Amino acid sequence: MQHPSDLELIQWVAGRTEFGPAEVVGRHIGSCEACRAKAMGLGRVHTALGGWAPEPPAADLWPAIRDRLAREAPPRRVLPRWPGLLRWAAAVALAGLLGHLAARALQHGLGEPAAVPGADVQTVAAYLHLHAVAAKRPPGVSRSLDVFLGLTGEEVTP
Amino acid sequence: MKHDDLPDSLLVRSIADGHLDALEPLVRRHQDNVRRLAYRFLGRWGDADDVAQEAFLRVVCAAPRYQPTARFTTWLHRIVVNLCLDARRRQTRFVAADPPDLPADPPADVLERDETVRRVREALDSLPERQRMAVILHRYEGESHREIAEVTGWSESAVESLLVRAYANLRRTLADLDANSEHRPPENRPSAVQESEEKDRAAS
Repeated sequence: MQHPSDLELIQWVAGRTEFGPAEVVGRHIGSCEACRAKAMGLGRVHTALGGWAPEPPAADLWPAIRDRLAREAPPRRVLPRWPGLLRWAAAVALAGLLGHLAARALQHGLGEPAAVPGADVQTVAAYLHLHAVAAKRPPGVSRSLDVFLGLTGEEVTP
Repeated sequence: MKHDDLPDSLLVRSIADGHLDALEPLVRRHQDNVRRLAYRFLGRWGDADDVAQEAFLRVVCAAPRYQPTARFTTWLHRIVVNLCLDARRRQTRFVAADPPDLPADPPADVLERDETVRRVREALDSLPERQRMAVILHRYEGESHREIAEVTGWSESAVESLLVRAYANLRRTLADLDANSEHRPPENRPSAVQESEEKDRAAS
């Protein structure tokens, strides 16, 4: 076999190589001086690190955490968890309601425009005029405008 | 069912639903592991406890985003590791004024062992912080490369490279440890290394 990589040796020394490959690495190490030296060095490190097993001083963090939670996080209002189907139904109903309102607004919103308090009389008149054109000649729009716009097929006489 | 009996993932779900009392069993279950992990990286129990407290508070904030596909400890370690790295950066600014805790004077009969522990701590402390974190997660938390990558947010290849460099550095720093001291072989280490060590001792 080729020399195992450093990483394979680290895993092998830590006992984290699967049985089959571990056997192969083990046989190689038995016959390769360089890899054996490396594996032994890693083994010493592994053992030495394992000797450091600090025991935390007895302490319970929960009371301090509970106090901080009470101080820092205002109690949250718990909303009921809606089942998926109910959530979809609510979304569809909301979309329908918004659609209905939008349709009504379109239907009625293009009627008489609201008066603009304090606006210039000429500006308001011009607005009403253009609005009437857009609405395809509602009552009150003069025939001359249609003629001017070429809607009647008549020629405009100056 | 009482909270104490619930698995971690259900407790997190419960916290996400606003039941903050579900945090208590999580804290009691994992606090020592979190404190030890932070202590190994930061070197002071006070800092480790601060990190642990903050980590559990962050569990509350992050609970709605928890996906039970990940092991809870992997998810928790990700929070702890980020806090540790932040704390370490702050710590290095004040290290001269406030040196890390050293173990209390050891009794004479365990002098040798504590000398080894002191050397190990110094060797780990001399590693660059990413190498140190990779070794701590690998050796003490038993995490695989993939888990370390998941916990730290580093790529798997970066983790592999960090581990190789870290262990090479430790091998150099701790090279003289074995000559005069006896070390217990690790429980799960393949016998070939132990046999090689015995051969080496016999030869010397």
